[in-house]
Amino acid sequence: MNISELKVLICDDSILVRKKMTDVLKKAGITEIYEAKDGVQAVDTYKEKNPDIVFMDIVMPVKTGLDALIEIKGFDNDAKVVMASTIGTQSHLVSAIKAGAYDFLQKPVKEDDINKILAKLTN
Amino acid sequence: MFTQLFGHFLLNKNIISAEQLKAALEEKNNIRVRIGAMAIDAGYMTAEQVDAVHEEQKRVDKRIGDIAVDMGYLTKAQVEELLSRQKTANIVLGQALIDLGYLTNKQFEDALAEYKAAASFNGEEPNDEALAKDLISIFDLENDADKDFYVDYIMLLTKNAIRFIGDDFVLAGSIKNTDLPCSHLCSQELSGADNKFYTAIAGDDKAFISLASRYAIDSGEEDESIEEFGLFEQVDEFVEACVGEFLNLQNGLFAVNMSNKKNLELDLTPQIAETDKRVLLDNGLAVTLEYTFGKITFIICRK
Repeated sequence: MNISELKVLICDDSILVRKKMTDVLKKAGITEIYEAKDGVQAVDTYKEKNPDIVFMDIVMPVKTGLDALIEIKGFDNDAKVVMASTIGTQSHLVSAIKAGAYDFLQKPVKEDDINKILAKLTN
Repeated sequence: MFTQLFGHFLLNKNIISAEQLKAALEEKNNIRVRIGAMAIDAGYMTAEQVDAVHEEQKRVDKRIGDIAVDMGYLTKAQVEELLSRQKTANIVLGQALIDLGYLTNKQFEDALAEYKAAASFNGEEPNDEALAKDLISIFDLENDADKDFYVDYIMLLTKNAIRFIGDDFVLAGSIKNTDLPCSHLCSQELSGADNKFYTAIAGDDKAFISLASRYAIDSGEEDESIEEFGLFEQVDEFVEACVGEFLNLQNGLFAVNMSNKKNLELDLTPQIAETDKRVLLDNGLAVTLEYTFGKITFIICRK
């Protein structure tokens, strides 16, 4: 699969972060991009759109990213969910990986890091 | 950091007025020298490398020079050389005050000598211990049970403000035990073990818009997105998100520092933006950074 064919879901409560991520994905040639503002929207949008990859902020209102990850993994064990957090400590990384995360990104997210994950996914 | 403390001293001693300080801080921006710019000037680093180092500084609480060494762009010797040249940057505020005619050379010399005799931090080399002492005295924290927490938080905050918003401000002091009216407020809670803290940024329209635009532009957001949003004319969702992201960056780096230094794991809540609120500073303090564009107040309270 080509990177440009990927269906991507961005989950973050900050409009600034969603905008930045969308810009990076568009630059990589991706056109099918969905957004969610909280954990509940993330789960609903995942069920409806079945994206190839999800970028999920851990700290979100209504439902946290970790809870949304667990729920998504519950009905689709193959879901590829990349967790993002401002706190890049070992314990956060471990809890994300334990919950079945595909990868972990430290925020602010770098364009290079996103591109590496997209490449890993399509290879 | 020297500018912020020395500026506070000059105001406190009534050596210059707030307006004069503001003018000097604005003037200083025209003559400020940055390690990155000096490294490019010296041919040690490319502009792309400097950008990469600035990006990395959003993830680690380290100085530009140290990050550049970690990333293999500069040698330690080159950093030393650039830092010794940057020392002159410490006198830039004084230079601006003299250029503007607010102080004579002699008055500046006297004020600087008096400051250095009283303060622990002399701005000549990074010294967190000396800085901590001065912050305790400025913010009257000596007998506060949460002294260490506040000092760590304010020190990181001052560094982040310089790094991501700009260094044209002074630490204007703090208030405790009062309720603070805020026209705009962006808050986030930190919690871990038995600790729970409420943190927030407060300011008026102009301060919020200026903080947001400087942070967003520093984050490489200047291009298409800003035009697309028609931004930074009023406090809207995007401005609140930018202020929220700066608070999140500060709290995220603080959490990493606490995890590394004190083995304390802190979690963050989502940021909340509100308008026309009163915050009760019952068990905490508000620290005001007096920027040339207005006042930004940081609130830190134990819950």
